[in-house]
Amino acid sequence: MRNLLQQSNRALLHELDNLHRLILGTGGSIAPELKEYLDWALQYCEALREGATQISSYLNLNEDSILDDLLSQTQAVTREFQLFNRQWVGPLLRARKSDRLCLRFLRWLHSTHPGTARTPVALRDDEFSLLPLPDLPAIYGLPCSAQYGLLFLPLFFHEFGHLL
Amino acid sequence: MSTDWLAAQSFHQSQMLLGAINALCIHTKLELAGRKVEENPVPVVRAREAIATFLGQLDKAVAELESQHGGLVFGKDARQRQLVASFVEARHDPRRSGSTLFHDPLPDIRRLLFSSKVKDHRLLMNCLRDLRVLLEEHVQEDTLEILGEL
Repeated sequence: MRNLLQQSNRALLHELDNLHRLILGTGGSIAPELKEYLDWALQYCEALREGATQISSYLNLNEDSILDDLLSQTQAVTREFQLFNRQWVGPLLRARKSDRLCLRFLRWLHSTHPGTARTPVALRDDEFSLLPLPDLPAIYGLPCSAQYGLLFLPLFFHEFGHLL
Repeated sequence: MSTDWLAAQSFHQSQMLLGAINALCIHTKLELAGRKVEENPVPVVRAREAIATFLGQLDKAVAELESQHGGLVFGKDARQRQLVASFVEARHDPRRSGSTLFHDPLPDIRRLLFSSKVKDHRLLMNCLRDLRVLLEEHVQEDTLEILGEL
């Protein structure tokens, strides 16, 4: 099992390196309003990397009694990575100059409440929606067709209410 | 707003707990194996506190659920209720009847977290292993809900 776990962790570290490069590559082109989200994503990626690296160093101890725990932790870090890869990276890769108005509006909305003032915001192409998760950035869904006008922006007030 | 957020919140809570259980188990087992480990490093202290808080909350929720005799329990989200129900179900599962986690009162299990006796550490490792299985089953459902079949 040790060898399998080593292989899994090596593969995970490789994927994380690719993702880190990809995220870092967006840094020069994203809107300033997305900078906090970019910083969060880079830190999150680094935390996942540290998690996988720590598992590898425990595996190198050759201590059989902790193999079950390392298997569980490898699975946990992998699940976390898959979710990050699927949900949290997209808003950076899809970022457009035309997002700036929405992002400024959302940042202003967040700044009005002490509980959300420091929560990074981002946008994704989706129906009007929000995943309100404690201690994580708020990603607001906005249909592609609604991204170039003011008509639907008030719907964010409703979504913001879910976050509160 | 999508209802995925319930699964996503549950996913993050379970993942946090699994990380805490694994950190505490690894540290304790290395200690039991006679390996040189740092005494009470911050991540392990935090892990112990997180598990203690969870067991305290679980104890209250289980008592509440059992007092309702299968009726509705208000004030908790559906995924939290499901986790508590899975725990109660496991208590009545003959295949899990040998487990201290499902047999002994939860406050007793909670006390094991802060014991300095080696015997208690070994017992705690078995309890955390069984709790981890329960949480992994739970997080698997959340993962399917959020990410689909991987």
